[in-house]
Amino acid sequence: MRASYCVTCLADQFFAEAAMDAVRLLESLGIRVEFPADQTCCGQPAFNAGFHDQARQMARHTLQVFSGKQPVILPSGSCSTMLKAHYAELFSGPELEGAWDLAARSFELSQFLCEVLGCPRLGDGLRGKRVAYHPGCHGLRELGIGDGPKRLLEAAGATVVPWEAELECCGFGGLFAVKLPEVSVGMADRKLDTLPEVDVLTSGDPGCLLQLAGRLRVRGNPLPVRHLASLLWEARSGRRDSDVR
Amino acid sequence: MKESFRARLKQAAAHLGEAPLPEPPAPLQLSPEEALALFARRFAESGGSVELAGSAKDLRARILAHCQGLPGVAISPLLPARLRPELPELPPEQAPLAISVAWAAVAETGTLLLASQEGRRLQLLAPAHLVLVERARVVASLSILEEVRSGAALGLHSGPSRSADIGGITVVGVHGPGQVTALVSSGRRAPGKATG
Amino acid sequence: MSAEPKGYRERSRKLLAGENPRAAVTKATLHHFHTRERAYAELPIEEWRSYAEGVKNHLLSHLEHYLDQAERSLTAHGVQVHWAETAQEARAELARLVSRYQVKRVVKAKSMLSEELEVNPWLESLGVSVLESDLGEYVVQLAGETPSHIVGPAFHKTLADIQALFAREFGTPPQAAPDVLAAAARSRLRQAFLEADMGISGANFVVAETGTVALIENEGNIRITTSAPRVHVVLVGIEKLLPRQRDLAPFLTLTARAATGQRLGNYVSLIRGPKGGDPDGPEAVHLIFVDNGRLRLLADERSWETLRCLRCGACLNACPVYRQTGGHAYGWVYSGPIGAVMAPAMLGSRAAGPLPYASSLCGACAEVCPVKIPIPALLLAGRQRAVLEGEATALERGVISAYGQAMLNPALYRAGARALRLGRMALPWLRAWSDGRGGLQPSPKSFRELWSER
Ligand code: SF4
Repeated sequence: MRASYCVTCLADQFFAEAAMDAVRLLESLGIRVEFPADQTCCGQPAFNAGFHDQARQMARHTLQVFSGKQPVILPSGSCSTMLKAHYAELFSGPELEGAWDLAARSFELSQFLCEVLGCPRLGDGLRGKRVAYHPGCHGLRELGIGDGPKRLLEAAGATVVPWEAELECCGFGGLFAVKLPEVSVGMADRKLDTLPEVDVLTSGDPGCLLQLAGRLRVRGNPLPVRHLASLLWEARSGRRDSDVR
Repeated sequence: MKESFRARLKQAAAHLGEAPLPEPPAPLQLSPEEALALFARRFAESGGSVELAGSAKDLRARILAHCQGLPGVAISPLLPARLRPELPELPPEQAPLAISVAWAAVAETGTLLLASQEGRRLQLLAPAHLVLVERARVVASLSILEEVRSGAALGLHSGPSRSADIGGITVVGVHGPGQVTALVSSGRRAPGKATG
Repeated sequence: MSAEPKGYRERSRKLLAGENPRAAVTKATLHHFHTRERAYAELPIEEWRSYAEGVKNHLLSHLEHYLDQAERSLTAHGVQVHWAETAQEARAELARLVSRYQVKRVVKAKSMLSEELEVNPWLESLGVSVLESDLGEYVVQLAGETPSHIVGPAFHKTLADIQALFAREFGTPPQAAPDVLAAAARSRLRQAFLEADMGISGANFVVAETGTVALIENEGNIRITTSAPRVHVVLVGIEKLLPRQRDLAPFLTLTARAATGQRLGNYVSLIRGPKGGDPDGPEAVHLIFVDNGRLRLLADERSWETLRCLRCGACLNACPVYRQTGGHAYGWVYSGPIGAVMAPAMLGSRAAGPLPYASSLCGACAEVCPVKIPIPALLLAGRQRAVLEGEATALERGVISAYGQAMLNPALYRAGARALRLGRMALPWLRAWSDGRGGLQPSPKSFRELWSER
């Protein structure tokens, strides 16, 4: 199967190795990954800030870049939500049909693994690892990503440790994080105050990872924070190639 | 409605499309025995006590037991003479106990329905509240409210007066009764009649 | 309505830095969040929520019809109905009633609408004494504050706060247990109930078909407020109607489940009119239907959906943003997610200030709302509105447009040519970021570079 990869801006700039881990993982599962070089940003930052005209232009560009029939895979729950849930709000007419079409064939990485590939057993490279999993609100509530990521992690030998504030927001929220930083940081603290004893913290959302990793560092906590793609690649390959934050 | 108001209302609502009126979810249905058992459980869960009288004689005995040692009580005008304790009647704000007769009780929410015709202070101002309810009037569902079409006010009591406004810690008897007991009659004879 | 949502950031900063209500608010809201979750789990809750949403949508699309019907049925059993288009009109109506019945003392049952109308200072200015009878509301009144939560006005106060307050007011011991504190309030309020000339309440619902006013509570103060004084005045927003008597039972229990996780409040009052032949009860019942901005909401293509709101507070309890500060940060009566979406249409974008942005868009609110108000979508609509009305900051406008240009030109994006300029423009944001989270550390090589090197 061929699939297009939409790396998303944050993953491109801040989780480049993890984004590459996702590619390695997909290729190891027999997917031929293509990377359209003209891709830029999905438009979510502008959309969430209320700038719909700018968001529409970026969305239009993204629709062109990812035209075709093959699935589009994103290592980000939040950007997947933009494509799957919000593009339709920006368009009408034939463009709207294009938006629906892209929505239907776009997948967040774990969603692709579970919904399209049927949650394959990846390997047992995570044996003995205690993991805290942060679901990321958009993936959780808008995409309805259920326990797929946890099942993938546990099948690879990891223990996903219950976390009191697991389903709560980390406080990232894009523009929110810089427009109302005190509240945003307070939310991160609530997550981290309740964090269980684990070896690694993971999520499928680069934004959440930046927020939680940054706050952990400021709090002087050396806990490794890694993108879900990296853990899943480690599950498969036993290798740790990627950025640890 | 004021005409200026009507005009603005028409304009404001103009953009809304027609929306159908859906029917409520199906009401809970239970046998009388199930309804009584559920009422007793739910009423107790929200802090009330429940007593079941075995006979008309037992009913009277239980009322008297509640009055034991009291200087007087407040009594509903709906309480039949044969069930009245021989004690001075006190106004509700001075009585240590008030005795009411419920119009009905609802199992699913553990609720006593109290009509205003017996007096509302009676239902609210004494620290303890004893409420008689006829067994046949214990119904499964709150949908019985559909039948309430008369009377000035109906009070639904599902437990004692309580608050958690002070540091999240529950206290009872904040404004109304701190103790409330539902005394269910044996059902052979109605303890009294009230309308909603 | 004195609304100052504009200062949200400054207030939130202060609340988080100084006298921090975060722990008390977190504890209270999480408790209610979990009890609601359990109460919802007992029902086929999606069916119930769709029903409730449907009834309110129907009501709002036939509001004129149901208001007329309600007026007829209320009047039929002796309730005197008044209409107020603005807060001033509502207050003027109250003033007329106060003088007509020669009212000296008022007891009030918690009502958000009365907060909105600023009833207390108004009555005091008329020489009428006003006592809040809900325990939490009474605490807030004693402290000279405003409620910080729709359902739990004193959620922001710890036991220690209230102990100190009551020690000062009533001379209770500094470590007095909650029931001792409640007893102190009880004796003061009991007196007030018996002496009051007028009781003022809000309403959870008014049934158009039967003219029944429904009120849900746990303390009994609403029952007494609406029973003991000679006159009862109901303040109610025009959206609070239910079409049929048979809608009452499901709405009562859905509201209780959403608000406190109970199957029903320990007390519900269903009021149809003055005492008539009863031994006691008010001699006169007046009901004031209030607009005060609600028709503005109704007319708004997006925000009309907020008029379904039951004021259950479930969205506040679910909101991680609200949890950080409590309600006072929001600067007006309605706080939390529902306050943030009502503000732009009710107050205008300028007055609403940053409230539509006071959310990470996590969606926890929409998940719990019993009438399915799409709060995140409405927050986005509020932001879009702010941009269209020119309320976005220069910083936002500048960065988004520079960023937008870069993103539309793949060559530029790849070259990172704009990155430097963009970075300089966004400097205030970078600083805001790094204050709490340290400097941003990009990957040594971007994914693009890694890909092209493969
Ligand atoms: S918006 Fe929904 S959840 Fe929030 S208070 Fe209103 S009804 Fe309750």
